[in-house]
Amino acid sequence: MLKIEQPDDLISLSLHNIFTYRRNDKKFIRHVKNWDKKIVLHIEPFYPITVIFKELNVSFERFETEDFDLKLKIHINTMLDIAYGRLQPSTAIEEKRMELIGIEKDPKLMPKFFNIFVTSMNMVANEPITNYYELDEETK
Amino acid sequence: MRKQNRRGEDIAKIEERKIYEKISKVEVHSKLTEIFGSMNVSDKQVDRYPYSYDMTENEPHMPDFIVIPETVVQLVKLVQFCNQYTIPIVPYSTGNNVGGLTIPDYGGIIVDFGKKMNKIIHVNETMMYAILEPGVTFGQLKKHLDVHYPDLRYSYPNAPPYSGVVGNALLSGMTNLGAKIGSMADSINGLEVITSDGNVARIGSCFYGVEGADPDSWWSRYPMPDLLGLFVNFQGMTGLVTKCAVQLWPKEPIENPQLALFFGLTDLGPFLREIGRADIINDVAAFSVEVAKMEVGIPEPKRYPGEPPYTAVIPMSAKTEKQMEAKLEILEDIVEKLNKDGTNIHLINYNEFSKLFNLKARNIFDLPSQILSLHEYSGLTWFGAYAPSHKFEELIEKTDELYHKHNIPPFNYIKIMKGGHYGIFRPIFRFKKFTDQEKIVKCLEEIADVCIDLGCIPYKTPSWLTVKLRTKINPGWLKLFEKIKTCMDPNNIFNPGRWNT
Repeated sequence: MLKIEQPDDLISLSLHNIFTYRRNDKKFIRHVKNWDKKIVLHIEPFYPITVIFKELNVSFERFETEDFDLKLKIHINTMLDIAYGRLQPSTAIEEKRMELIGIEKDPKLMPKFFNIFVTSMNMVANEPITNYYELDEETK
Repeated sequence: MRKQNRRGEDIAKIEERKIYEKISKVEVHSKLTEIFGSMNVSDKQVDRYPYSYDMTENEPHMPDFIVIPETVVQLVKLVQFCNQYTIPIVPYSTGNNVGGLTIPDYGGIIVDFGKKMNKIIHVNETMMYAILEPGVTFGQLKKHLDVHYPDLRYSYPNAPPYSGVVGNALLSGMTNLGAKIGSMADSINGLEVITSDGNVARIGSCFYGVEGADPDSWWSRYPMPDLLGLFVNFQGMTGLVTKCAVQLWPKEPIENPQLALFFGLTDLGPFLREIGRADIINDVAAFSVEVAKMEVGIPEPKRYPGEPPYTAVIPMSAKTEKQMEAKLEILEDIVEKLNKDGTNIHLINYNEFSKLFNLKARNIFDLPSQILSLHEYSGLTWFGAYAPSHKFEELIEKTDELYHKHNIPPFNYIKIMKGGHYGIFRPIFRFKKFTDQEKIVKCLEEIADVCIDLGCIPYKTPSWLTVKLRTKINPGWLKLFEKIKTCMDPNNIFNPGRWNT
């Protein structure tokens, strides 16, 4: 069972929300399981965080770890453009609106990163229900 | 030295009323039953207890009786009876005023309007107003308008759907059209009231009609001598309000709320002043970032380096897409100009961000709604004040220091009102009653002193706070206020104790 740590800073809270949306999604669990990576996210104008994937656990650190596997630098509004389908990630990279550091180490990093982060953001953004109390059985 | 309570009142004086030496409780109960019917009167402890306290730190006090009125005629008889025997009357709609205003400090009779005097009497679609009984709630009004008058809207506070509309208006509440229309007291067109002698008066344009008022006549507060002011912010001290006409507003079809992030502690100050006068927004509700975290379930949140100390939800609406684009352009220009002058403010689409962050964050926007952080603990209180907007920066800095001094997460709620003419500054405290109440009260009192010194004027003022205000208010105002209270209520039966009367 996927275990996502409960953080208490703004950016990690957002990611927690996004990942929790898919916590029972078998595809998502398959992507995350045993990925064992440290991903730095720097969503400007906010601060950088590190998301740690280890076995079936996802945790967050409120700083940029030096031994990251992949680092993403992006502005919040660009991230929203991608989440809501107005901008393709590849176009964002080409236009230098999204910077990915570390892809050269492992070519499999990018597709995996997109499956975990980008697809999850797309799914949350496309969720038609906007009333928290109607989201699922738990929130009701 | 005579023993005093926290409100600075002599304890002995409170006990001097001795109502039940003039008339026994049994006789009172009998009279109330005659007026309201046995099903609408109670003196049972189990029934009285819920009215003896509220969510605030204000001292509880049991009422002697609860009555549930259905008609104005019943209330006239009640007032005449209570005036004869100097029995206190405390009006109650839903008890959510966050000021201890319905706690019966001198006992007496709670008049619960919420149970049966809760009808939406009439809506005039052309002149855009609704006539309400005092027990109507925000949720009820919203549903009624959504179903029957979908082109009209009311203005909603950050309060639960079961809070009362009329109480909010009479106590100068602020809502999600605040930047446009200001205090909700300004949106009252008319009242029907019962004064201490049992006289029923209609105030406002509805004053025409010797027998009764045409429901389509409640369209304006002016231009007759403004008697409405005798009942606004008087906390029920001058009479009982039995009807209230409130203004409604056209619902604009295009909505595009924004979220502003303020990375400098006092960046909010200049932003609010500029955006208030720009006439492009419906409202702006700024919160310390700890509030956003509390709302998504972090019980004792901290602000970390790199996080914006404040965020602001900015409801915006327009008649057309072009008008919305123009408004957004002006908003972006304001932010750009302020950032060139040294602030660090960023704008995000609120609808899009709230989905990714957490849908609970929409509770602050989709009003009326349950704002979880305000309900999770057993206690809630605040220093809610109208504030001079040129003092925002000082207020933010000084209260931030005090919150940290007392190790309490800052929970400030700040707005600009009525086109930038004045502001709202509201430090809020949630607490566990009987556990950390003492710490909260200490911090609250220190914050109150700082804010009052900077010119803030609290609304829905509890009695302990009016003691402080009385030392600062000019004697002429106090004299006039006491004169009016004495004239309107010579036997001090209407919510005695408010403003230390």
